[in-house]
Amino acid sequence: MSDNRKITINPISRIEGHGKVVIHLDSDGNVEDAKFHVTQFRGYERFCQGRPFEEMPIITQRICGICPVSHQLASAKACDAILGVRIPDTATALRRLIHMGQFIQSHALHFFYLASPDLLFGWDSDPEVRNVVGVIGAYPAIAKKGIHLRKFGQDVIRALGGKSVHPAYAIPGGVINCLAERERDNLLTGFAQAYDACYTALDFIKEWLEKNRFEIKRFANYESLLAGLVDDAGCPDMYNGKLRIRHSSGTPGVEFDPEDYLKFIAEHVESWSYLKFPYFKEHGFPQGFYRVGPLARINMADAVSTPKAQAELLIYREKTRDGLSGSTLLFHYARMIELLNCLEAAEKLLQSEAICGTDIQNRGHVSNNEGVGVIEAPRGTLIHHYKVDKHGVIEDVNLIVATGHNNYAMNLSVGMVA
Amino acid sequence: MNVFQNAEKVNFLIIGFGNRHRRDDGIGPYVSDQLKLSLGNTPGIRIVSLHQLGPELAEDLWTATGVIFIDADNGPLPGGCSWSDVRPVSGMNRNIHSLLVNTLLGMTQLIYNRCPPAWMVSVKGYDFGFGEGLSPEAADSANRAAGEIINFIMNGFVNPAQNASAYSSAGSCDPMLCTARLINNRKGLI
Repeated sequence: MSDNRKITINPISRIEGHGKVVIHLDSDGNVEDAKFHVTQFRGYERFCQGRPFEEMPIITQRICGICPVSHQLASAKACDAILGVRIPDTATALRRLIHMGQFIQSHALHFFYLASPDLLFGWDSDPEVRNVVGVIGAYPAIAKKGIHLRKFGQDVIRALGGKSVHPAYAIPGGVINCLAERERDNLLTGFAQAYDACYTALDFIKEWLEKNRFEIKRFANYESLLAGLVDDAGCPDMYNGKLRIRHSSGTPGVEFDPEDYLKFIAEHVESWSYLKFPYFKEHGFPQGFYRVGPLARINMADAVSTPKAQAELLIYREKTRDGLSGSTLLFHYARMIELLNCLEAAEKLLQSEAICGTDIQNRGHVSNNEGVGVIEAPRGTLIHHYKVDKHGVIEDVNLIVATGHNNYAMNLSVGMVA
Repeated sequence: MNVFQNAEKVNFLIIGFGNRHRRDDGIGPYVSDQLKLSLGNTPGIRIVSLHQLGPELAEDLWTATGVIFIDADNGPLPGGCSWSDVRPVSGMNRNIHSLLVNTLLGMTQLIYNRCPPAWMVSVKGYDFGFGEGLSPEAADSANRAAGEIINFIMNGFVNPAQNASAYSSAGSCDPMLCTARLINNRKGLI
């Protein structure tokens, strides 16, 4: 019998939700295996059964406290499909805008609050200092920009949804509030400072990359399939588009309508985690595992949709072409390019005529007995799939969230780092 | 109602925080709701309801002339509510999802080199189980707290930022004492 030992990191801090890492050691103290466990049973797919489908955007946004808007929008899109309606252009623009607010606040939170302590102080520094309070104490100018950027994203959400966390905004068929011109004008005044904060982060991460190439190259750096929504030009589209699955080596993959996801994606279950393991059917499990989120979106993109972010994408490609682009540490860099992209997209939306329109809902009745809503959340693709009876009562729910898509990759990364 | 004749100089924040889905933990937002009915259009006063406190509040706090936080408390509170002044502290806080009031003030001080005078109005809660709506006892205390805050403001407090003594001399922050002190200092503002 081997003298097995294990190292348990529980709970994992700086995540939304509950998880732990267990590193199994052999008798010589070498790492034998490592697993990332999701320890929280959620139950959404079951307890939503029997609820009227109209409630789903409000119920399912509670899945996450960081990206509730994304869940609400994915859910609303699934409900639009059940109604069989095409929502008004203004409603689409407003949904996209609140989603950009979501990305801005979430990406700022992730970079400045969660990641920056590690990047600024180093992994081996004192944990008593390696936290956001430590950052505020040692780097108040950076902290101030991070706080401002996150607040700006929250302000966008609040201007539309009334509050920054768990707003009630998207409903089946549209949204509930118009955007007042006064609010629009107020938001537009905030972009100069937001861009400044974003470029501070980009400058920092590019410098950090140059100083840490060796570490980045060996830190959970691997080729894999990548997945995410793209528009007709092959740019990441956070709200709509085709679902692309492509290998990081650049070999052509597949692109399909998101509602056909079951033809391409299946889910595997392991007894040691409450989180499912989605995979690309064609490759089987586990070979068909894929990554989603900022790094996947940036690495599989043909381009990005806005000029400033496109310029940064080209710099990123140049800096990472020597075998770095699969490194898990580059999620931070990719995230900041996306943040810039989202700022530009939000500004463009606010400058559009449609944004203050008043045609924001299309009513309808239950026309289809199922609906699929797919969206890109800050941490990756969300799939909401509902089946209803003729009265619109939920009979079946399938939810694949970003952390689920990344589950196998996260385990692989944890194992490689361990 | 216009308690501030020079309202553009005043930026007073009232922040009720707590979880409305855990019964009496929603006391803070409940009191904020009550105050909005009475004070919602008062120049110079901003009333907000929050689920929890996050670092982003620092950006609002550092420019505030004063701030009142309202939160539920499950400890013994004679009369159902109490006032205390809150001082900024610096130090470790691993949980960035939800900050303590004094840590938030400490962050504000660190980043902006300024922190407003702050008071905590604690209101006794009895039932923190799942569900919406306050217990009858908590609702009574919350209404009393709302009344005290309204009196505090109606009696005309001064811009504390213009008179450091309003803050630095604050000991136990009895609302009547606060009011008296602020009334005495009001000339400094208007």
